[in-house]
Amino acid sequence: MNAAATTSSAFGLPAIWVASSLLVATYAAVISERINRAVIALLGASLMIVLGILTQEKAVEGIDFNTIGLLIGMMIIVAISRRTGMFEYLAIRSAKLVKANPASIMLVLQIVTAVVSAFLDNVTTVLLVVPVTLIICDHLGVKPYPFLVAQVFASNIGGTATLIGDPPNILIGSRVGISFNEFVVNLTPAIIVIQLVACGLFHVIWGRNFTATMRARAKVMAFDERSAIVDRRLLVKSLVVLALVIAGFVLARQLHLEPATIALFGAAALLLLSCIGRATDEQTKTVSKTFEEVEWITIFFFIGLFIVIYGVESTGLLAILASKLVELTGGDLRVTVYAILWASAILSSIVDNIPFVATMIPLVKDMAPAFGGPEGLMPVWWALSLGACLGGNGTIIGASANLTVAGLAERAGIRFAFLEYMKVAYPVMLITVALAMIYLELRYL
Amino acid sequence: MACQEIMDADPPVLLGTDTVGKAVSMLLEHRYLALPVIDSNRRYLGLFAKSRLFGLMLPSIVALEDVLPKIAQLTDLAYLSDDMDDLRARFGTLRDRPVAEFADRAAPTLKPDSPLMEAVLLVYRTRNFVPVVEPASKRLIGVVSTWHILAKLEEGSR
Repeated sequence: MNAAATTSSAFGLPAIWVASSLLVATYAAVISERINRAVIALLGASLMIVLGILTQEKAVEGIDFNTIGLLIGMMIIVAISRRTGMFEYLAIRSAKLVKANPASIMLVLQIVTAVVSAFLDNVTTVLLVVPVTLIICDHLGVKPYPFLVAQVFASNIGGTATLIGDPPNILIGSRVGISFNEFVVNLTPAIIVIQLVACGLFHVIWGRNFTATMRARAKVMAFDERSAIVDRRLLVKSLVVLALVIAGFVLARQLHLEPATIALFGAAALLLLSCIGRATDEQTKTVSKTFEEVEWITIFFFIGLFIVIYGVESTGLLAILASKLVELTGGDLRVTVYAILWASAILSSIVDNIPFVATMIPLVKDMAPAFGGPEGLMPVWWALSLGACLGGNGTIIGASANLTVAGLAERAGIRFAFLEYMKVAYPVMLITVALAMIYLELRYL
Repeated sequence: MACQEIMDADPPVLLGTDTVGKAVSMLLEHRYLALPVIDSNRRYLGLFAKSRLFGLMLPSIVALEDVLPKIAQLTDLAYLSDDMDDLRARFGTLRDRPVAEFADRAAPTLKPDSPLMEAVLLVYRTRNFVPVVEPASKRLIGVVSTWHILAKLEEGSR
């Protein structure tokens, strides 16, 4: 891996400088948000090859197929299953379960969002839940802003619970070899507590002041959630495939299968089930429509980023930074865990957590000898996951789900201002990270 | 043949300050599916189309479908309990607002010298009605609709 550390790039400059400059430039361009992030990542990746840091073969080695396959597989499964109307059904049913009481609706929709987000990507989750939330708020005559903020939090918190819930976890799980079950056993208990505390905080901040007329509540109670299901046969097929895919993740070790294989197998099976009995041209349309819903920007962003980071890693820079970090923390596990947790949280609140975590993974891996091998590093991985995922809640730009909801809200005429969001979100985010710290202390340190 | 030869040079128009209520009356009167919106100098401001009007009577998120990622688009609204009274109430909140607020500025337009086939393509794509705007002055000089093209076709075949 570090063989290239002493080699030079195409222009005779030390490879370590060229690679780190490319990484910094890629980061800066992603943060500036002036050019689409997939374009930047692909450009950075191409330059890593053109400038002689990596060969094309080496660059392909750096792409983590497990992450890419898992993302594409889950995106295809969601694209098909959402057409059944199951997510609208879930939201309406939840709202009616609490008698259309606005404060209780905010609470149950947070729980629904968190649970869905644990199994689907955060951005996908908010895109599925927010539209129906806006319809419910519209009929209740309540301001949707608090609901949307609470759902942003729930998507980021819930996503932290599992290997597949949030891209940083997918990255950590895949690159470190941590299983779905290990994520559930180690992170889900903390996430349940953190989500319940967040629900309580949002109730105190907003929920307790909500009012809706009996007529408005009756309107929501008159919603017919069964009518939301538009394709019952596809619903059954989708639920069966989703259940099998989740079972596959749980049994991945015993089955000797990687998460990407399970997700892609599930996607292929659901595509097959949705095509059976249709004419060939209709099948082509269905498959093409489904593939259009895959977020290719995210996929190509990951591909480019993997190559950029692999280029930097190959120069030995991350190993040097890891040893400096160990020196800085004195090799003390508690100090390292706290430093990683808080640094991840604070940085993730202002920069995209995906490139940050992607860079931190090889760096943390290189710290293993200081903590007695890979086993000793486990609390550090949990700290990185909790910090990066929860920290993203702090500002509108902290996570993709936040930006997605803010964009949706603005288009629907709902003000979603940076400072207004941050005034509430940052303190709540700090509380959730503090809870994560207590959890790590009690369980691992 | 250029589109100025087939266009209606004196179409019914809305002023930007006209209300949504007046726009609806005019759509009903002329049985049009859209009307061009202009200012007092006849400068073109956009298109007020019935699709926009219906969008305003739906929950706001549905009216945004064109700009939403596919995954955020609602599958159906059959579960909603809204009736005609609810639609009237929603429409009532819009009736007195100026049409300029709802004019679609991104709707495609034609130039007076645009070729016939460009006009046919745009009418096909919009299923409806395309304003003809003079590029330099931005003034509305006519409209081309399905009806104008069909009328010309019939004229030639007689």
